[in-house]
Amino acid sequence: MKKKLTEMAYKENAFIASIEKDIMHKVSGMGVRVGKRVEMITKQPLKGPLTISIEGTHTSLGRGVAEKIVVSPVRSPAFDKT
Amino acid sequence: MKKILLMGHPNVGKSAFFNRLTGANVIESNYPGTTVDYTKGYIRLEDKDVEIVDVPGTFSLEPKDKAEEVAVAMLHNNKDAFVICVIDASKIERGLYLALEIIENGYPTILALNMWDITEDKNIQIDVVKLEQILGIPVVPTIAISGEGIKKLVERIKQAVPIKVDKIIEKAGDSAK
Amino acid sequence: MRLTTDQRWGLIDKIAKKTITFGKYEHTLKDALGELTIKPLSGIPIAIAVLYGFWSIFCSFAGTLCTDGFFVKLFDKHFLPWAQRFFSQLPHWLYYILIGEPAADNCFEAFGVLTSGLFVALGVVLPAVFIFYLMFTLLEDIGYMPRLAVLIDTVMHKIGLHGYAIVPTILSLGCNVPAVTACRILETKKERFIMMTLLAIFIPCGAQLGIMQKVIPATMGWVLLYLLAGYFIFGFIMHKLIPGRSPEILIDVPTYQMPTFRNVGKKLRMRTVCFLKTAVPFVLLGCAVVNILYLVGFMQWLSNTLSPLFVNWFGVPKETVSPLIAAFLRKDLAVAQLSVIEMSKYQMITAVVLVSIYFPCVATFVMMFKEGWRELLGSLVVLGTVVFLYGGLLHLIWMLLGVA
Repeated sequence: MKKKLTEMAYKENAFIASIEKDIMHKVSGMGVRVGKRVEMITKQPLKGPLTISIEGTHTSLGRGVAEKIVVSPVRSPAFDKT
Repeated sequence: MKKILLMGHPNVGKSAFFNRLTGANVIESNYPGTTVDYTKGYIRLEDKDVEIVDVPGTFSLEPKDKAEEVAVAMLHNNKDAFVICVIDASKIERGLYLALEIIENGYPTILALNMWDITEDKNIQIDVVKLEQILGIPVVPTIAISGEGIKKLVERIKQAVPIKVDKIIEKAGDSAK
Repeated sequence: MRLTTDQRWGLIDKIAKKTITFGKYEHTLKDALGELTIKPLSGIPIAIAVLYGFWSIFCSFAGTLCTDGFFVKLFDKHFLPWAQRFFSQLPHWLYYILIGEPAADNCFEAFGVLTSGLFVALGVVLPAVFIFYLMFTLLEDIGYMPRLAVLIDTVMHKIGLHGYAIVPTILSLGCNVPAVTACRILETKKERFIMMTLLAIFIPCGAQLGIMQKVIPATMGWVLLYLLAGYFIFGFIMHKLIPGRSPEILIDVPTYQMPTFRNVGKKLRMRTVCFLKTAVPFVLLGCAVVNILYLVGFMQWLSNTLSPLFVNWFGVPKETVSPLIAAFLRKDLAVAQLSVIEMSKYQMITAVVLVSIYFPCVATFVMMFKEGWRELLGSLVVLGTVVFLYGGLLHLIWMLLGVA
C-alpha cells in the first residue's frame, strides 16, 4: 500500500516509490531517491518538518517537500511468514 | 596547473582537509561580502605554488541557496581548474552524485574518500581499486582530521584527467570482472 | 555529455553494486543522543536548557569574571589615574579627546579615546565576544545547530523564514557582520531580505549585550524581551507584505562529533581577530568623533534641534541624541554613553532599545551594502518606520503604565 512520506509512522520503514519532478533536483543531491529505504525518525508537531534516516544519514525536510514523496512500506517480518 | 578547487558536501571535514593541504603555508583570506566568500591558500606541487580554494559546501551543482550558487559559480568561472572532490565515504552514494556532476562538466577530478575511519566503523567496505578503475580518476581514502592519506592525494593530483561519462557507463556496465 | 538525475542514480547503483558492500550497522550512543535531541518531547526542553546554559555562562564569564573581576579594577584603579596624570600637560582640547572628563573616577564617565574607548573595547566587549564565539563554535562543531533548526522550524515559518535562519540569528548575537554573510544559507531573496533586516534592527550584538549587562543589568531583561517581540512582530508583518517564496527546510542532520581542539581554536581565533579588526578602530574613532562634535558645539546644536522628537515622541532626554550619533559607529559605545546620562529606568529602556534598533553599525552597514544596495535601501525604509513606531509605542506603554 503506497502512501505519502508524511503519512509514515514513527519508526516505520519504507522504500521510496516516487518523487515529484519539481523537488527532484533539490532532494537528489542529498541522497533522497527512488528505491532507497527510509526510516521515520521524528515528526515535529504543528506541521513541522520530518526527520528521516536514509543511507545512514538523518535528513530533515519540510512537510510540503515530504508530501511530494511517495513510499511503499516494508512488509513486516510477521506478514512475510504467513 | 592554474588552480585547484576543493569541493564537497557541507560537513565532510572539508575545512580540516584544506588546512592539512596548505599546512603551514596557509594564507587565510576571507572575502566576505563580495560575490564570493571563500578561503584560499597555496600548496607546493613540483616546486610551484598552486592556488587552492576552499569552495563553500554544496550538495549538487543545481544550487538551492546562495552559498551553493557561489560554489557553482566558482566552478564555472574556473574552466581550467582541477577539482579535489571531498566526500564522506560512509555516504558514498550521494557523494558520487556530486562527483559525477563535476566529472560530467569536464573537470579533471580527484576523489577523496574522507572519513575513512568512520566508514570502517560502520562496516562499509569500498573496493577503492575497482572504483578507481570504473571512474578512471584517482580515488584516495583519507582521514583529514588526522592527516592520513593527504600526502598520497597530493602526489596523485596531477594524474587527474577529464573523463567522458559514457566511458564510465561503459565500464560500470561491464558485467565481466 | 550530461546525465539526467535518474541516469546518474542508475549509474551510481551500478557502480555501488560492484564496489561497495554494506555490513551490519550497530546503533551507537551517538545515534541515540542524536535522536533524543531532535524529538520534540525531549528535544525542546534540551534546547531550552542549552540556550539557558549558553546565556548564563556568557553572563558569568564575560560580566562577573572578566569585566567586574579584572578589567574594571585594572582600568579604574590603575590605568585611569595614571593616564590622567601622565597626559595632564596636553592642551585642553586634546586632553578632552584622549582622556575625557578630568574629574572622572571611572572609565565610563571619562569618555576619552584612550580611557573609555580602550576600556569598552578590551575590558567589556572582548571577553563577551570571545566567550560567545567559543560556545557558538562548540555547538556548531558538535553538530547541534541543525537540530535546533529543525526544532524551531515551525515558529520561523510564521515570519517567512525556516529553521535554518536560527544560524544567522544566533551568530548575529555575537556580531552582525558575519551574520549578514551567513544569510546566504537561505534560499530566496525574500528570506534573505527578511533575515538581514531583522538582524540589523532587532538583534543586539555581543558587544551590546556585554555592555548592557555591565551598565544596565536591571533593565536588560526588558530590553531583550522588547527586541525579541519586535523580531517576531515585524518579521510577521514583512512576511505578509513582501512577495516571494519562503521555501521549506531541507537539511542534513549530521551525527554528533567530538569537536577537535585544532578546529575550534582556529575558528575562534579567526572570529575573534575579525572582531578586533572591525571593532577596536571603530570604538576609538567613535569616541574621538563624539568628543570632537562636542568640542565644536555641533552635538549641543543637534540635541536642541532634535529635542522635540526625542523628548515628546520617544520620551527620552535630549542628551540621548549624542549616543545615537555614536551608535552609528559602535553600538556598545553608545550604550556606555547612555549609562552616564541622568534618566529614569523606563527612559533608559527606551533609549537602549532605540540605540539597538536604530541604524546598524558602520561595519554591518558596509556588509549589507556589499550584499546588494537595493536590499539595503529596503532595509533602511523598514528601519526608519520601526524606529519611529516602536520608539513611540514604548513611550505610549510607559504613559499607560503611568511611569513616563
